[in-house]
Amino acid sequence: MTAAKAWAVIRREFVTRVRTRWFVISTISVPALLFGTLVIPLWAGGREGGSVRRIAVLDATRSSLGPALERELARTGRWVVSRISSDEGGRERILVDSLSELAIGGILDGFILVGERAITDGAIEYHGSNAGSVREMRELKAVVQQTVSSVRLREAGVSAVLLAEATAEVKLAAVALARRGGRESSGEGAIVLAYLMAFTLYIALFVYGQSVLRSVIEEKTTRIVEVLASSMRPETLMVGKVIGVGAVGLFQLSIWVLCGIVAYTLRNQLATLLDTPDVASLAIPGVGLGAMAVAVCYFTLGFFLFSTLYAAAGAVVTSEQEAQHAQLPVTLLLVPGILVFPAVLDDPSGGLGTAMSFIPFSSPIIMPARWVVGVVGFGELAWSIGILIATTGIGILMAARIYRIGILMYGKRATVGEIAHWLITSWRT
Amino acid sequence: MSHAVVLLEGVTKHFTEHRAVDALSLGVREGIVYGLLGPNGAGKTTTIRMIVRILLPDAGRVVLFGQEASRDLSHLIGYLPEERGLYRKMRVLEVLVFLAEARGIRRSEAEQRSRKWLQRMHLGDWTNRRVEELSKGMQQKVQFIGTVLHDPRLIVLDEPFAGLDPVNVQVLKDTVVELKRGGTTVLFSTHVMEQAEKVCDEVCIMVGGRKVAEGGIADVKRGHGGRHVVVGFEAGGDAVPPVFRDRRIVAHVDDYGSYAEVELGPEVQPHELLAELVAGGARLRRFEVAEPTLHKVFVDLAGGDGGVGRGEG
Repeated sequence: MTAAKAWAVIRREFVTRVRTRWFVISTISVPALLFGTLVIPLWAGGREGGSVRRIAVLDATRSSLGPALERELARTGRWVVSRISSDEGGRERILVDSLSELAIGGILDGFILVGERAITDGAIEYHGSNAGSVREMRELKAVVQQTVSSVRLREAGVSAVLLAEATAEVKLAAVALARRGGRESSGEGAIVLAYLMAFTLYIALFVYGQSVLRSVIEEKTTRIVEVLASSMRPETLMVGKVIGVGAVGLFQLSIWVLCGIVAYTLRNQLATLLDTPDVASLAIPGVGLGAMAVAVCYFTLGFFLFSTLYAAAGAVVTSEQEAQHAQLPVTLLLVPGILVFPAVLDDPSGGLGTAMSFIPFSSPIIMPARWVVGVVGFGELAWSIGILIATTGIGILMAARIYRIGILMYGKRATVGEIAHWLITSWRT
Repeated sequence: MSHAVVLLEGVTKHFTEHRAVDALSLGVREGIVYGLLGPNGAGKTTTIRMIVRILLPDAGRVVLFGQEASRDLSHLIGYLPEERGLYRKMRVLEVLVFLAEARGIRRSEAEQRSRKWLQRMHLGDWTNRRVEELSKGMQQKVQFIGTVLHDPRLIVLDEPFAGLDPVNVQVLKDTVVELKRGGTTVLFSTHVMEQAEKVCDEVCIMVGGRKVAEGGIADVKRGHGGRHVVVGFEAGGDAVPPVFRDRRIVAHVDDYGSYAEVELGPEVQPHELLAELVAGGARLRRFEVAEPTLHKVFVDLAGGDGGVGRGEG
């Protein structure tokens, strides 16, 4: 009988939510948004970076640096270069002025000033309308740096062949090693996945926790809770509600994960479609089964912990307005996890990350991300989950006690003292 | 006397700072309409909540259908709380099916019954509409259907007439009478005596958490009747017959000028008042020993401090 009634509660919570427009929109928009944030900058960046800059090299030296720069810059295809020699003293100032005007007028993008001491001191200037672009300056500097080095070495008597061999490009591939053994995906992919997981879990815990809170308040303000409480234990009602809403969360998460898997499987086709030659730069992470299991485990436990606390918060208030205050303590437990997350990701195996993985209120957000990055061993995982399970158990017991008294209280919001009193006095049902 | 559906024995409930219900005992026989009457704060809602098992008494026993009250009996009970509402976003049929499921009715059965009741209450066209699209009166009907859908043997209604429009008051009254004819026991609380007087077979009047009167309406009135006299006299003579001010004979008087409702003092017989009036020279048009209205009994019992502890009915 009790099981049938609990099932009715679970079913109602699940069906009424999944059928809403809000559910459909959020289910579609989150992957779309994530996909957008991953792909659009890359795509736009690729387009913009492809535009060719027109620059001049104002060469005040008699060395081979000027011609070498002209040649090397032009070779990348990113710059159209014209070299102007200013070896006669006094002309330089006039040339700088007129080049500046050309740059301001948009006829040139900028110009490089190669002074007398360019080779000895490395003193080279770039004036240009795009001097604020960090990426373009980095590219420019790389070419200039390499050219100056080459010229210096040549002048020091190094042969062209030796030079070419010495400066051949190096490819550094980052492969992350998981502490628990085995190799994970590329380091970059893992970090993207870690970010996605942490934020998705945080948002899911927050949104679905709030959903439980509102559901409790709705039943309380409409007094439906009295009808229900006269036919089932308030604990049954609360747990049924939490399971129902949690199932919606898991359902939505699994749709999102499925989208991720599809995107990962089709990443080559996607890259072609987007006209991005570099597949790896799409950074669509591959989600391993282990990572998924860890994420689902932490979501489920974390959700039970937070949503029962939200349910208790909903039970002590008498209106939606009051709920804003009552839920604050619960939200304050949830937020630190996401606040410290970027710092944790900078040093996933550091003290902060380890500590936050044992604190049950932040571990649901921190731990799956650290697991994906590969710095967590099975022992640490077991401890973290153990602590979370224990806290969730205690949390449910306390929340249930507050809930079953709170839902029948009307008139005013319960004070902290009263809630403490409810927790202490045993109350048989 | 037939079997008691609801039996309260010395039921007491404390809240933090006050005693909401104090050693209350009452019995509701099967198949009657029973009114729990009392002013606001008399403990009616607390009593009802203990009957439907969402509160537990600190002391005393609640016996339903001859057994200790428990949630396992919830399928036999229909309960409509005060100041009620519904899930606004859900469809009418879904809400009703859910409420019936929560009472232990199977889903398919619940749906069938819901449709039948919606037809009967002329809400058939609204079956698949959202609750929030319904007018307040229609929502009230849906709430009532939700209360009786699982065919309970006892219906407990907390202030059922509060906030109803006149049409729904009539619908509710008719349905209650019909359910009673079908053998259902109905217990409801109200502070509106006119309805209670028309609908109830028996009543319990509560004041300050205690029972001050219980029994059939006629008995309760009789317990407080015979002490009331309606006097009509011709205006013009003495403005007020002097005997009205004699506290030995007249305990209380409602003077309307040429008409007065008089409550006799203790031990005073109506004929003594008549003698005094005649002796005082009053020109009487009417002298009648009246059965008080339930309202009058209620106000007498509930009004002022004297209400508590006055003789039981």
